[in-house]
Amino acid sequence: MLSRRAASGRGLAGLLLSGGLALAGAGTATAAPAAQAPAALAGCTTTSGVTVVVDLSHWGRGITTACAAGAPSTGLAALRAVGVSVTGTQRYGTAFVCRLAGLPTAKEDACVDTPPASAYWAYVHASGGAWVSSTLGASSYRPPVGSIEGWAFGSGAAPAVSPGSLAPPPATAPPTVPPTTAPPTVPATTPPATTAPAPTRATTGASTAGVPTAGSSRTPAPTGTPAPNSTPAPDSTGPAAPGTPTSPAAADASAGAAVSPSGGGSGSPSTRPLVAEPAASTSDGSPLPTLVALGAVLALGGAGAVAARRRRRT
Amino acid sequence: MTSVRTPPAASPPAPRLGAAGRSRTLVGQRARALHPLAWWGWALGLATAASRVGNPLLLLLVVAVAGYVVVARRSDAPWARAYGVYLTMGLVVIGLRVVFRALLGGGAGPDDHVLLRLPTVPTPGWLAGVEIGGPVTAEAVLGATYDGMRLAALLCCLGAANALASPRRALKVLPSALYEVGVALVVAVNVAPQLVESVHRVRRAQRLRAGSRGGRHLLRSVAMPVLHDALERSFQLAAAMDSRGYGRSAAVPAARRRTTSALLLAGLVGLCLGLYGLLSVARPGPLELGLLVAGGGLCVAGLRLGGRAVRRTTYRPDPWLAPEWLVVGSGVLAAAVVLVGAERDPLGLAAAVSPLAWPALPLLPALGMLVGVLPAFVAPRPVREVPA
Repeated sequence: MLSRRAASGRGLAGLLLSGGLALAGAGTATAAPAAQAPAALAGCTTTSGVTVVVDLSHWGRGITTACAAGAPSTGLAALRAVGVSVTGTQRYGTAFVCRLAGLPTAKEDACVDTPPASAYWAYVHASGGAWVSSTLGASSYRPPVGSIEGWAFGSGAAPAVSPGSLAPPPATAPPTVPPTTAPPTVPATTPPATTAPAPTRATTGASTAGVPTAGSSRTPAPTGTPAPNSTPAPDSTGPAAPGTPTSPAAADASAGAAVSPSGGGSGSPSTRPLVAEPAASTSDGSPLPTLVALGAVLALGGAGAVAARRRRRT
Repeated sequence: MTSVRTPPAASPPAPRLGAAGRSRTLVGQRARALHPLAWWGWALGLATAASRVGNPLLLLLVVAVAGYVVVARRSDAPWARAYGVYLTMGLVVIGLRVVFRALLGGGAGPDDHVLLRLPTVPTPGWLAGVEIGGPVTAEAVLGATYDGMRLAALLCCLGAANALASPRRALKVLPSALYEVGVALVVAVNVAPQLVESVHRVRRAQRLRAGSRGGRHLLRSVAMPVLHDALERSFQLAAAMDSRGYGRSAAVPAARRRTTSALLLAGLVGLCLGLYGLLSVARPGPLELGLLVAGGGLCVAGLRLGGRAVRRTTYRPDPWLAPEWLVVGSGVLAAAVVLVGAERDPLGLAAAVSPLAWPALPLLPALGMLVGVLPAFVAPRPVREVPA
């Protein structure tokens, strides 16, 4: 407590931490099973929408998959778009994602400060058929359209479903021209991390180079798919401005990305959005305690002044 | 013829002393300096309480309590005015934190209240997590203020201990195994106020002489006499200490000296590792506690071993009486109450930054911190120098 005590920016500390631990986030691509017919989530194709997977199996509620239509600007916006309530910590707000859909409950984690390294929500992206830990926080990472994101609770686990079974289908109707190359839903056949297909080009760099390749998520895919340079959201103003220090990403990467299990996940992903549980209210909001405390402080200060004056006189 | 005898000068009634020579009542005790370790124990207890708290109201209470005790019980020594310096340092810390958080902290959620929007400096791709500029939210500013207040409260507790406990008397209680370290510290502690006094003297002499020059010449005209002064005084101090037998090292065999050093080093390493483990892990397990205990044990063993070879007596050691127990007890009670409160009600002790709300005032920790005011009434009055 004494540990965290330097007055430097959190962003720099988060960067150094994430840079040092990005190596741990390299996931290995397993040979995912042959592409099954992907279930169509409403609104999600390879050129629009972001698939969001939330793994609640820690509490026995299975895995929920939903689609955030359009082009959500950040991972947090994607979560909100699918209707998952996000609660941050009391100290840092949503820079640290503490609760999703009300879990873990207030008894398990009071969400006052950073969640412990043994029980936190890990943020992963699908890349090359496997889950790769994110190197950026959910409020700074811009998911490319057609990508798949995952949230799993534990000490760095990944959702217990293979991203291959969740790949969105190509857009069948215009306006965007579907990719003419091999269908992007077969990550098993593509070698990992180099020629990543469009939906999984998010953070492939993280698995090859140890450099924080957050920038690669913004550059156009090397295969030059017609999917646009995904989220050209401007850097400055925006409802959820990016640039959070990568502390959640560091927390995600610290335990290393788990390899997605081969042999498809738990059945077909459900399409209904997660029920947004109401966030528990934490404070009443009356200024009375503040006034009482300030009164006590003023009383002590006045008594001290009186004592000092009496001392000076004698 | 009656002899005129002047009545004896009225003196304050002597306090009643018990059979053991200790003052029996706390109210009528004579003026003396409290044992310095008692002040440090009280201050460390308050600091422990402040470090577990993020609530700004409780931190304000800690600072006010420490300030009142300092004003009520400080002596006239020059270091007793140090509390204001630490308070200023605390304010500087808060200011720095707010500035850094406003410039570098990003991550404004959609519900945050934006105070002003700074222009964003675009960062290259490899610095993607760092945002320079951007919107400055009330949550960020308040969060930085509360964090800074915690550090400022810690600084104020340390400042209170520095202002109340005489450093010279504190060095008297060092174990004899650390004797050489103690001598060096005593010399250092005496040098600093002497340097300040030398500088004042030299500046006064310069002002008396017309034509004092500033700028580059200031260094030569002030620094040289001060250094000369310091050197001369240190020679005098060394001669005086040597003639009184300070600095003599007993004939300790080399093997014992090596064993003592090894034990102390291993003990310190164990303590460091144990403290790190205790503070960094959310739920400290037996490993961290075991390291802490083992390190402490090794340190104590090393000190006992080193102290057995050397026999030094202390001249007029400070007594440890009931007021000392009460002072330390109040600090320990404050820390204990806050620790218990942290387990039972962590939300009340935290800073309500997100969502933004008026901070709550948990009753039990507040009362625990107010108990820290006890030394202002229980500790004996300091010895005042009678003005000439």
